[in-house]
Amino acid sequence: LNLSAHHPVLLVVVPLGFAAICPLLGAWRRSLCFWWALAGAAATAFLSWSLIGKVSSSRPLTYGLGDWSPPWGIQIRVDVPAVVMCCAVTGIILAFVVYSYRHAREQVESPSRLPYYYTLMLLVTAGMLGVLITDDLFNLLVVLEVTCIAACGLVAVAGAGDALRSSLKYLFAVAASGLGFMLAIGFLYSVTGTLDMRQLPLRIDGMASSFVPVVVVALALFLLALAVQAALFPASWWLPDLAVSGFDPAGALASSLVVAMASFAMFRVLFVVFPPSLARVGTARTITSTSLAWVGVIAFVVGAVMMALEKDLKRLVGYAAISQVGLVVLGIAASSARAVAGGLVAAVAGACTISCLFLGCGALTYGTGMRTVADIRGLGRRRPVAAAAFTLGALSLVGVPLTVGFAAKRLVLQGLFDKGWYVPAALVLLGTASVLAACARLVFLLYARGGRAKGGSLQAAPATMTLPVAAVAASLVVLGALSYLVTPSIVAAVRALVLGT
Amino acid sequence: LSRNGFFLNLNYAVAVILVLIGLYAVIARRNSLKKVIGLIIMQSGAALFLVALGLVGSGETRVSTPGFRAATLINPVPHTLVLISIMLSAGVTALALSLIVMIHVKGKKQTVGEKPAGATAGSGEPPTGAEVEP
Repeated sequence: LNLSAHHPVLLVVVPLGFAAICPLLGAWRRSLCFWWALAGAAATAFLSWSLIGKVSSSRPLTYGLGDWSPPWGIQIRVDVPAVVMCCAVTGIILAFVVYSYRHAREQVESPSRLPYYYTLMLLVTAGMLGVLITDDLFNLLVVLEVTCIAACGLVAVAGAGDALRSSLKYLFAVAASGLGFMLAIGFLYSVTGTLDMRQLPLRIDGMASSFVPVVVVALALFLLALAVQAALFPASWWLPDLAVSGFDPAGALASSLVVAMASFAMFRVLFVVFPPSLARVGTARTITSTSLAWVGVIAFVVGAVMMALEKDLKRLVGYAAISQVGLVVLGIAASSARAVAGGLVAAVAGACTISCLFLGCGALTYGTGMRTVADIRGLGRRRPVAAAAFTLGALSLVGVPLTVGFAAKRLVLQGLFDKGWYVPAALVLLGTASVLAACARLVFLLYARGGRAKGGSLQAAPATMTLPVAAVAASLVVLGALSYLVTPSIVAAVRALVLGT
Repeated sequence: LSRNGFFLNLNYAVAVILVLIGLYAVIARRNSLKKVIGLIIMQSGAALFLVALGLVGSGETRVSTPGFRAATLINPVPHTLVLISIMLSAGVTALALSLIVMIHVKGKKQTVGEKPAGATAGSGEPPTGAEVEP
């Protein structure tokens, strides 16, 4: 058995296998589950990171499931954007698992739930990697549902009433949008007879022109369904509650990574299934993507303004997540090479930044029960590591140079200028000003004198919480530096998609 | 329209109506159990749509290997998709129902205890499962 030939599919199979064994192990020895999940997350991270260098923009890795070639079987395709996302996702998951060691044990209602928590964490990982590498539309739907429903369970594991309620709300949103996605697949299949993402554009161009309306409806349904799952502003009603109610890693996962996966799926649909070179649906596609870009701008600005107005700390980070989704969708829908690359980098940046802010919040307020923004006054002196990490996250959210948030925002803005879209670009800058105001308030409060710590001394946050926070914060800077190396290759990969196949 | 064509299109019409009824229930109903029922209706509509797609009245199948003649064969791919979607829907329904039960149990516990559970549980006993929205 040559394992390296099966490398692409192992990305999904390994976390899935670990997830399947986790509850059994938990029934035997509950404490082993954490170590098992850690091993699973580490193995998955190793598999993703060892893809670096194996894939170039001209030479993606492909793998036919069950040795069936594309028209009949499902193909897996690992390209440059997928590798970048895979590496970020698995790294963040690793940090989440380590962070959960103390956090989940202290917060969970009954310890018998812990095995399920770690199982769902591994399951979400498998689902997300599936979203990133699959090349088949129905498969994409299935792995998206796996991701979202597992995330739903992950939030519900916390067991508190509001966690259950927000998780149910999320479940309805996900299930209904999933069915919309399935209907769109039905529409598309009825006129093309294939679900393979590479075959679809060829079939669409070759079909009778009376079928074009069906394809346009399918495109609209795809984008609607994915907008709900990506929490694009008008469809983001479920996100703030979900972000605050579960465990810190669960909320962070649902509002940073899962949301990023849905926007990545949007990228796949807009540029692989309905590429701009598609003559048949050209006008409809332009109209759709332009309106999507406007929705993205509005989402960015609204999220930023809500963030500046919000008083609850974790909910504020939830609004930051909504504004980040807006930026990602704006970049992707703007359809110029640099904007789309910027959208993808913004997806990575958003995932890392929002995770950093969430975990930073948790580590800052550990053991204090603090919830509001005013509470964090003066915490910076008492919890220096967590505060520094939180500050770095805030800087990256604003887009201060040297952080990955800057790289993303710069690319998106350059892409907008390439298109001559000056009004959206101005709105992005306006939203950024609002984000800056919110973040400046947080950071000044953090390092201000005073604060109402009763007794003066705080219990130290455990190292299993501060270390992952510090690691994620460091990754913001490292990725910011790396982006200078990686960006040209992403832009090249995207340019091939945008300017024609 | 021929008689055959009318019945072929009837499938799609019924499917669309079912999906819309379900969607209405999911969006407009406040009661979670009714939302779950709406979800199930919606899923049935989507499944019916896919099953109807597989039905080929008088044509070839759309997927065929070279040298494979299948003039009146029903396309199996949509039916496979329907099977998977039924599986997904069963999982979603089970998860939603168990969440509703847990919310209901929680609400009861909290109304019995010293602290009422805010606006959701209310003073009287909720008869058909907790409502999500306050």
